[in-house]
Amino acid sequence: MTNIKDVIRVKIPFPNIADNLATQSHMYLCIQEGKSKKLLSCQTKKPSLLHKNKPPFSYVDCKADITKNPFSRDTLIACDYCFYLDNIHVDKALLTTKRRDVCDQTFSQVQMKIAHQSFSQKPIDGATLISINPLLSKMS
Amino acid sequence: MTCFFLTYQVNTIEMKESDFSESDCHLASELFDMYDNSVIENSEVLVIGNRHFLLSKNDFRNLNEEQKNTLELISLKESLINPVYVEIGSEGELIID
Repeated sequence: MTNIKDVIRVKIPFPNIADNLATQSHMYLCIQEGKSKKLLSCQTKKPSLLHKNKPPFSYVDCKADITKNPFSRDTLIACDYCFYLDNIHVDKALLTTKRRDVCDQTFSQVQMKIAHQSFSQKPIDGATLISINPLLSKMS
Repeated sequence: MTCFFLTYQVNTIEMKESDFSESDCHLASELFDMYDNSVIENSEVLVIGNRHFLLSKNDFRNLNEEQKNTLELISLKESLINPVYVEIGSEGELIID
């Protein structure tokens, strides 16, 4: 069961590269639990992400801190839009391991940052997602 | 406003305090904050094409030919943002961030 504030890590293969050679690690913060989940992308903080004129325009900047979040590198929680995942079960094994969630303080910062008029949601194609992640499955 | 990084010696470009806006200073302090000395001392950068792959010194030493070839393929992917963090997973797979 994935709860609000939980962080999941999904490994996504590169097109045309076998996944036993390389995968890309993506982390997402759950902001709505249940059958219809909403997730925010968590990206490792990099200089080019801090440009004022480039996305993410709205974000929460998290220092790597095990007492507050599971991130091993400084991370931006992107608050421009969320991903919408319908009818997909997330296996517990996908939860981040050092701790499973962000702290209440970080989550309330996120709630403030997403409370803007242009906040939108992008549906994710569940079938494609399941096909590349064996730990995701269709809810029965 | 005094920009603290002006105290560093720069050999090629002369910089004046007036060249920097407040947002430049803010960005500079973020950059200093982002990469502290321990990260710099423990990392190696492997440049392939436009990609700057950042590995721990240990992972860098242990890179085999197949992994180097894989990084060459990955360097062609448009979606990656520099610096690209690379770790070697328990099965020898490259974990790219």
